[in-house]
Amino acid sequence: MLELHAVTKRFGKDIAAVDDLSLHLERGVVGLIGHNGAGKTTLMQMIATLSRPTSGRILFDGVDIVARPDAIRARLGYLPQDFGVYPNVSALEFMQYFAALKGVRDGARIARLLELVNLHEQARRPASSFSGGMLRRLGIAQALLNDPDILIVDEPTAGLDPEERLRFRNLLAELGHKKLVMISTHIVSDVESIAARLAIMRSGRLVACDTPEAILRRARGQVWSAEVDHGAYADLRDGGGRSGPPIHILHAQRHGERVTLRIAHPESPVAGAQLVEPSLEEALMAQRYAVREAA
Amino acid sequence: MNKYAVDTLRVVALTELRLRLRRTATLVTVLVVMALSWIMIADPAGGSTLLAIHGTRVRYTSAALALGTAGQTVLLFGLAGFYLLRGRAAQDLRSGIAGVIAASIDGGARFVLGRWLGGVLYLFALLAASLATVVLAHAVRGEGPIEPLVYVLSYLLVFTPAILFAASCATLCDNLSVLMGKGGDLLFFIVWIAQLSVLPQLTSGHASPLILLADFSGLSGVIMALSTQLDVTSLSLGIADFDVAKAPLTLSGLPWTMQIAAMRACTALLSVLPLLPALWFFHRYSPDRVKPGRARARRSPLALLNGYLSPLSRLCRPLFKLAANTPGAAGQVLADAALTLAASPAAIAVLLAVQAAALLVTPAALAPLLLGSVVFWGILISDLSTRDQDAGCAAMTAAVPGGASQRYWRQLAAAFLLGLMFTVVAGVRVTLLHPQLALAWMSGLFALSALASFLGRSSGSARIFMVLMLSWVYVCINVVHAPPVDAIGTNGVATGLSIAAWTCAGLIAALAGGLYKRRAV
Repeated sequence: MLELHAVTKRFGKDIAAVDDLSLHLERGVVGLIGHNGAGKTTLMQMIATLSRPTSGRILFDGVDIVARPDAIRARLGYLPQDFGVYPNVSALEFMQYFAALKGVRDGARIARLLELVNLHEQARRPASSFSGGMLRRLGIAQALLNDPDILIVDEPTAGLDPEERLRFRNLLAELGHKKLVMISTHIVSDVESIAARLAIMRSGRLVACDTPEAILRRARGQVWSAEVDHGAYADLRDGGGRSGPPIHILHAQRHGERVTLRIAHPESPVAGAQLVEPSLEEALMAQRYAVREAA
Repeated sequence: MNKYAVDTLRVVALTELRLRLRRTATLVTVLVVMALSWIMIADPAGGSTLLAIHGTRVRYTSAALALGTAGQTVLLFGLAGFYLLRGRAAQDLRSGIAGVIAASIDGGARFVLGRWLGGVLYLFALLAASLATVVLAHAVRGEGPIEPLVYVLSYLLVFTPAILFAASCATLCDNLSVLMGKGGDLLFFIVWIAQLSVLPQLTSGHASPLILLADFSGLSGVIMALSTQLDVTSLSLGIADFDVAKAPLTLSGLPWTMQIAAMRACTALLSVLPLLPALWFFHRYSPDRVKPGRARARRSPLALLNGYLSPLSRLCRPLFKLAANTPGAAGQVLADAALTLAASPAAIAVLLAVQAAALLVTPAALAPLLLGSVVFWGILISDLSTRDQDAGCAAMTAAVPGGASQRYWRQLAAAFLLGLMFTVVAGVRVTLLHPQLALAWMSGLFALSALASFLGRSSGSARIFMVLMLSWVYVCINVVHAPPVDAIGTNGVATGLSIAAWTCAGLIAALAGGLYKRRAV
């Protein structure tokens, strides 16, 4: 469905926001994960035809969308990280405008989508008066207007409360059954329960693209739990003159005089440490620290 | 004022100046200022001159060029200065920095004063560009030595109150929540027009001292300075005709007296008065008084009017439906036109009123009605090419068929379509009476649409077009026999050459806008 071949995006001579990235994606939810500045947004903007790669090819159903961007635009839904709405325009008028831009003739679809995102009762309210969550939902309704085959959402849950985040995740998971849904985020919990695959980016490069289960499997044996006193915790945190691979503390929780730690390390980091089943977030961190540095 | 306060003031003012100087809009503005400064010093060999008294040309000495150019531009500079400085508070709200500023400043007065000072410095920087161009023109067309003191002193005495007044009013409108919207823009325009009403008194020499003192425009200063050596009862400023048979007059030396200079200094002091309420009533970006969204929009008079008239936006639904059913770029053009109207219900009311009036008025009233419609339409479309960026919708509209590259052209076409909608009845009636004006009507609408799109895209702001358009309207109303000014044909003097010139200007602007940042989102 979507193929990226050696895609590179450079800003100036020195900065490669995306560096020689190749990827093949089929329908389903794909979580694009990476820290801030990893190149996620730049990659998504290139797929959404907002910017052109410096080199490389992006094919959608075999068509080069760098040369023919309109080949994907008609089948694309895009929701950027930061977006707004026009002043003095109701949600309905906002949708009517984008429907016309996308050539959507089915007027009833607007009503259906507003109902899907639970905004049908606010359709005639000025969209500029909406809360952050309502705006996000209006944005996703806009992105779905042309019944896209590929939906790109950048940091979709930024600024949403827990309830809105849950609602949004469920909506995207539902859509992922029929479409390719690309979700860019640096919050792992946003995608861990809904993504069929995770593409992990670091410094513009794709470092892994796999199922969450495979990523968890690889991290097994590298995440430890230990209970130590404050002094030992301070030693572990500061290095404490240890030799060998550094210890990365993923989580520390104080209980009176003791501290419970979760640590990413290729071998037992401290006496009495127990191997534990990693969460997806810990698995990603372990992949970043324990495996690479142990190697 | 302690050292800390002075440092704060200096840092805020210099930051403000830097921010403004680094904008693309500043480059465009400087180029426009330089072009206008050059154009207004007409070559006497061509039969026109900058300054004529009773049909007699005044030689291009330093004093004549300084006063002539200052007198011609100070009014427009005051108007443009206000619109160039306006909107910083709204920008802070949009960018999200407003809250940080509010939490960082203690009293707010130093911040407001610093911003005002930065604005004043910025306008003086633009003035320096204008003055440099005039001096360059003197080197080419002048008839005497270049006297820097005459230029600098004349410009300072004429322009300082105008710049201070424009900056103070802009600061006032930015810092009072009720004036933050287009209502503030409109109010200043009314004040500026009111200044024009005292022009006849100024030139007749019978103006009361109070009027002279409150003349922030600077024209009184020019006329008083000219009158020290010349008879100003029949003065022509600008591209004026003159009698080649008459020997030219000479204005020499420094035409300013201490009395005039003292009066200008007093006027300069008065011109900062609008700054006082700005300092006292500064909203400090309080969410109770200003909000990026609804609250701010609701508080401006125009937004209030739009709120009351919002049921009218339902009239746009058939247009949206037609847009959705029209395939390709044409449908997108209709959608942009529909959105522009839906977002401004007051425009729908004006559109309906103008069409009704155009059906009913006498033929003599058609031309003014047409010009009025063009003014309203021009204000409406001035931000069409920056709308997506301002509203945060640019990325979404770049991902629809056609993408960002087609967006510029469809918005230009939408501006033209809206122009037709606003002027159709009056335009058709004028055309039936004077068929030769149909081309002027079309070419004028096209040129203005293209200029609005190009200037908006290149500067990222609607203001430069708005200022130029309002200035053109002022000239168009006052210079009724000049074909080049008759862009829409409302004065009935447009010629084939003037129509061709406006069409060319439109084509150049359209292409330049298309090429400028054509890959930008």
